[in-house]
Amino acid sequence: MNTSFVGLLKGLLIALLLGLGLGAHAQSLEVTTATELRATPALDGKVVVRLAKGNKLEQTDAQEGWVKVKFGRAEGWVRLTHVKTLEAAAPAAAPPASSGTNLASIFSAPSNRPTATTGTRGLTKEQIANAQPNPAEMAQLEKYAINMGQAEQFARSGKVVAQKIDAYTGAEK
Amino acid sequence: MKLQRLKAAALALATVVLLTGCETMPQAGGSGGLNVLSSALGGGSGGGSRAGGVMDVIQGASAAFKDYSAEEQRAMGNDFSSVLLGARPLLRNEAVQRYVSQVGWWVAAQAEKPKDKDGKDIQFAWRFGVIDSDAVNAYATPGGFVFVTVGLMRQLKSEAELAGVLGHEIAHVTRGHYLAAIKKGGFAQAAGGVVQARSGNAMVSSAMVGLVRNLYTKGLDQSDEFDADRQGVLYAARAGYAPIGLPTVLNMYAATGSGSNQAYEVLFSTHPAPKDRLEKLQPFMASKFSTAANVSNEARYEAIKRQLR
Repeated sequence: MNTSFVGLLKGLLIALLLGLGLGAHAQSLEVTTATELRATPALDGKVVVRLAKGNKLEQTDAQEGWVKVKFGRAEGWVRLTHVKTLEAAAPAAAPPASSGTNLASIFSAPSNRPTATTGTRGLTKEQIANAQPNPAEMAQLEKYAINMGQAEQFARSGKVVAQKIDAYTGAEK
Repeated sequence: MKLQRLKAAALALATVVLLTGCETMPQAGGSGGLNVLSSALGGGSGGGSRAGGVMDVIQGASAAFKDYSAEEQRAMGNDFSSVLLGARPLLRNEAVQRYVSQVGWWVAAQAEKPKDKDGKDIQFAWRFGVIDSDAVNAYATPGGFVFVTVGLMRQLKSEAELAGVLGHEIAHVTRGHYLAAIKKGGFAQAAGGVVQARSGNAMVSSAMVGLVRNLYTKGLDQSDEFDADRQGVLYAARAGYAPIGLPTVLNMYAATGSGSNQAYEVLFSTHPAPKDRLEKLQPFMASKFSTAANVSNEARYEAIKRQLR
């Protein structure tokens, strides 16, 4: 099972991404089968925490058959075959390595992809990781803008009075 | 459609560009955005010509707060905010939005003004926004943009708590934490910076979009979070609010949140544990707030909160 073809493909994909210099870039992973987060990349490595299917991980490193990940505040190694990459699902996930420095490609036509606002009311890492610029919302933000005079009036009506308090110096530690 | 002017804005890093490839993101509406930044950086290139003065903004180890003019920070903040609001839109409720802006401006007025690269005080035109999301979180960007979620506002119990939360975010702006993170954090490997082009004011560059996505899923330096906690308490107290506001919110995080609760997922993965934050705040709390005001304005807050159901 650990050497399943799909797992191998995932391994190749991650290796490819690493080869492109993305190793240091946070890569979102999802646990595909219940497994363990281990302190070292070995089957007898100390178990840091048990992972359930669907847990989201943040990849920080990789080596033969293992990926180093962050899970909340825990960090450790998980079997490559027990996770899938979330961003890999997107089409054209691995552009040619040269594209970033090729001016011609930078000047290429914009995609007319619509601004994505999903149906859920969450604000997950996945949503942030897929966010597109939303100029209409920036215009809306400007409509809600106020000025300092309004804030002063608001403070007065709430009986909130400014106090003199010295800056933090570090000596308070 | 107007003539598109190509300008080169130097920003971002090899990792980001590699990730996002050659995509470009549509940004209709001409809100200025990075265009200001690219103009400011373009040296004598002027309008109309393509790819004039190109320089590496994010390069070397010394650049930080003072590397940017107020206009550059604002332009960055505009683009950052546009992407963040692409993840979730603003709440459509003027009373709630204005309320948060009023508390925010009042607290922000208590912060020491940072100096730009020319040694001039930066006057921020603050923009506070309530994001229509059930998640519990708050964000800021360079240049004076601050956001809190509906989910977070529902958990708060007073104006003093909101002031503490906003003070924390304001500190990220006034103390240059995001600017530092752009250079440091996961982007440190970028050697020499990468030239990224932007077409007129029609787009946020793909590199910028990639940078924002990365920065806001990864979070800031932990020491900067602790710093923002101290400053947030300080600004709220100077504004005349009970200084216990922010610590009360951190207690709430510790009691009700966890990394496995999806509403707190991003907050917990991008911040130190609430109990660590409280521990770090402890000596500071004991140091200089004995004579602070004790205004919490629960009633005024509750009236706003009732509109969030």
